[in-house]
Amino acid sequence: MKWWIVYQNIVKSNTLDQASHTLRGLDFWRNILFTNIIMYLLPVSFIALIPGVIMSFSSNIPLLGVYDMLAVLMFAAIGLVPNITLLVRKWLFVLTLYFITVVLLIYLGSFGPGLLYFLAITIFISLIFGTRQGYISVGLNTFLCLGFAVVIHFQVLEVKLVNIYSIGSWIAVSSNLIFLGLVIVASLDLLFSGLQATIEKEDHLQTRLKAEGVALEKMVNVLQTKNQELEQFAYIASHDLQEPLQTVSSFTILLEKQYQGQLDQTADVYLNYISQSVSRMQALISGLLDYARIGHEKQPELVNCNDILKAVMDDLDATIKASNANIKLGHFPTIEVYPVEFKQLFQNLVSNAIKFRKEGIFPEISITAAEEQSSWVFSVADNGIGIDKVFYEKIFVIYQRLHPRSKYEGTGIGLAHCKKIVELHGGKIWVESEPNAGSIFYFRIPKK
Amino acid sequence: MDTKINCVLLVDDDEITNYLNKLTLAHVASNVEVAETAMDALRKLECPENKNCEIPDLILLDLNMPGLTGWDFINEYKKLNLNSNPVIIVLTTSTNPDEAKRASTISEIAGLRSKPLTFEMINEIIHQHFTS
Repeated sequence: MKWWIVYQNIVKSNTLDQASHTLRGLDFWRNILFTNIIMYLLPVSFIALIPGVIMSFSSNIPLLGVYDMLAVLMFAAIGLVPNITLLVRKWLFVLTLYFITVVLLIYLGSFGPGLLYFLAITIFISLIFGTRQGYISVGLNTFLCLGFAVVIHFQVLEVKLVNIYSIGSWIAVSSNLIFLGLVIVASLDLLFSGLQATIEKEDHLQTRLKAEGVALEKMVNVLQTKNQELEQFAYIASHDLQEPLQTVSSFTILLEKQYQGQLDQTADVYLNYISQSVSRMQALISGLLDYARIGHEKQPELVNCNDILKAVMDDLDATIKASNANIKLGHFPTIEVYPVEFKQLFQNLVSNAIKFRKEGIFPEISITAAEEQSSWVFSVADNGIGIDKVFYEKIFVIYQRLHPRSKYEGTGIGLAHCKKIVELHGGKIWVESEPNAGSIFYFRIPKK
Repeated sequence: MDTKINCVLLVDDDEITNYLNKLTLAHVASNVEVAETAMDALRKLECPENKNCEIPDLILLDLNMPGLTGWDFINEYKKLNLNSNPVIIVLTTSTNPDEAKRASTISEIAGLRSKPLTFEMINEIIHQHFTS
């Protein structure tokens, strides 16, 4: 086996096309085919060589045996001698085949394998060179057959062919060869040009796909950088805004503590408005800060969502009791999520469901999870005031509110938070609702 | 200042802004009505509660409000077909030039101003729209 590998490597290094093919088209495969033909021809040719040589000696035509061996030597040379170009090797191969064909025809007539070899040459040439060369070989075969016809007619040589055939029967026999050769070359041409077209089309598609992939990757990189910059900007801005605001807040508190009632009533109203505005701005900024930090430098973990819901219920306990809310919990899966954010998501949705309740009735809230083929769909349903269809999108935009603050407290960040958290998990959030008929918030989280 | 406006409608969701604007308008307007939402403002225009202020002479309109925005208000306002047309001035915190551009394309909007409303600003508005 070791010898076989060494031999393979030698033949390959000699006959493999060194030129790099950008397109692995027919020319590439023709060369691969040639390498393999040479590689296997040499050992397999002994199947024909040994009986051929034995018969030639026992039939008293030793020259035929010598020619046979010469042909095999040529094959060995084509495969094993270095520093010959591929094209020369190919032509040497064809030449050797023609040599052995003519020899066989001369010594054995058409009962021998001569005509078979003619056909084989046409096939080989069609395979390793191409259609045009295939037709040329058919022409060459015709020419050689006509040559033999002349030989037969004029009895030029004392050979087998001359003894067996009249010119008429030779033409009848050899015309079959020409006919079969033409059919084969034409069929192979059809097959190959079809294949070539497919390969080129595939290559074209692949090139385009690759180019599009590269462009897309570039775009993703740019977007990622921009996104990071934006998050960084929001974070820094909101962080630095907090500081002077804190000062205003501190002095407002001092002013209220020390001077409330000592100034006139209008001054108290002003003071009250200042402190209200300051706390609102603090809430807005810290909301923005939290928003920018969602999922920042965190990793998802495998979490039992039943535990998360239980923790949310504990945290909202006071609100739930104060509003007399009745909350029904379904069964929840254990999935990979960002635990802090995922809890925040439920907390926001549940506290919204309580906050936007209808006057005069107790909140009924139902939280469920439904499994789909490749995702989980969670839902938080309430019997609250509902949302008009025109606001289905707006409610998820940061700082967008549907009601005046005097009616419902809040900064307008909660659902924007929810949207960002769901998107952090590769999911989607949406609402189904009608005014006065309650709302159902859904979010779909894909399974990992 | 001789010219006085009979009735001004403030459309803004921010209580503090409305309080401030009322103070600012006190010496130029006889009646100041406040609507905290666009819906509320439309209701006030359709069925006025204040007999002295059935159709306001001036509307100061905020853009960014919960629910219906200032733009939505204008769309709904067009459908009302009021007997007389108040002067509508958009009063916004936003300094976004796109909004100014958009406002200039709407014929119902007489002008766009940036908050806060100052004495100078209200005098200018009166000079432009209420002195004949």
